[in-house]
Amino acid sequence: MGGIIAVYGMTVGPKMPFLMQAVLKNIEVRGSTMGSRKEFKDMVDFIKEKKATPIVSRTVQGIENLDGINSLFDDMKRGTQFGKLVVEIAREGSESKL
Amino acid sequence: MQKSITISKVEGRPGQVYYPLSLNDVPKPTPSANELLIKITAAALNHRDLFTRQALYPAISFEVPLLADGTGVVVSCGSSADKSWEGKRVVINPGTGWKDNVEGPEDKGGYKILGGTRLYPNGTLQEYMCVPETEVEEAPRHLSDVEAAAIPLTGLTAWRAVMVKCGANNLQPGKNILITGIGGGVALMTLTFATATGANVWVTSGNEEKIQRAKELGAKGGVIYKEEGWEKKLQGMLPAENRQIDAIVDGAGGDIVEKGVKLLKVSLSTE
Repeated sequence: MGGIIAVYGMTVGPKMPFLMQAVLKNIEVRGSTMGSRKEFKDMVDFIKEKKATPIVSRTVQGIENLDGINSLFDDMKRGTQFGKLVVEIAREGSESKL
Repeated sequence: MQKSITISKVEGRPGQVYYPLSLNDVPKPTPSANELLIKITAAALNHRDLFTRQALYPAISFEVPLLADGTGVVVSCGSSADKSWEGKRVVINPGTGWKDNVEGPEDKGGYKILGGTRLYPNGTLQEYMCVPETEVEEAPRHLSDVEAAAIPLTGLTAWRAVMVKCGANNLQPGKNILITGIGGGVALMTLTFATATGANVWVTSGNEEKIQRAKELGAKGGVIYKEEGWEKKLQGMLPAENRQIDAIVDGAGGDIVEKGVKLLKVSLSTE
């Protein structure tokens, strides 16, 4: 086994070169997309165990707030976000937070 | 009745059109036997949702609510669903067609993602949603609704890319993981997972501010990929105990193999 390059997307363009030097270093390129139901559970369990927190860039409130929701799409279009863009639809679930 | 958000149809070519959001009054869904009725508290965007609005995504629907990521509270259960779900806060598996085969989806039609398409016709940008009871997990209690909604699709993608594809031997204290393009949802989730394993995480970005923020989140350091020879600068930052990158998680393609040849480990040492 050599070094691994896990590629989950190609925003630069839909092709990329592979080099003979990479062969000589035993480098493996591995495509990766989404994941299984089992991996979803493994991932959520890991977040629980490690008390990991995802990064939220910006939140807007209300499902009727189309201007707010549109502004989240604008963040994504401009690439200015740092983390996730979230629509808060209701506050009901908040009580179950410890 | 309940509110849901879809896109509405306007004329225009893929990539040029930008479908507007449409707020709709639709019947509140009723759970079938094996489903849970979930009151959605928060839903999150992914890049695919922007591509959907730009007509750059397959099987777009103008009737199916947008968004794949969501969290909510189970308000009722179908007749055969486990009643103990009631009142629980859950996160929703963002896709279907892939149970547990590590090689890829079992479903011949491939993996189908929630939100705005005909392939898995449901989405999280609505007040209530019915989901099979097998497709939810209890939400992590240390997270707010907004944070829990931020997990599903990028979390899943990052999980498989780093924790499954990069190999457990490369995710240990002393190992070096490089994540390119920090700032994107998948890259940041990858940072979260990789740092939690104890590995040293290094990042690239188009701007210094994002590198600084990544360092605040646990990255050891980073370089600006727009600068010529960034790989040499990165090599200079690596600790004396391990001066090579063990694995790279990349979402850009381009010249990553060329850069990887210079950065990645030469051969096995102890593993």
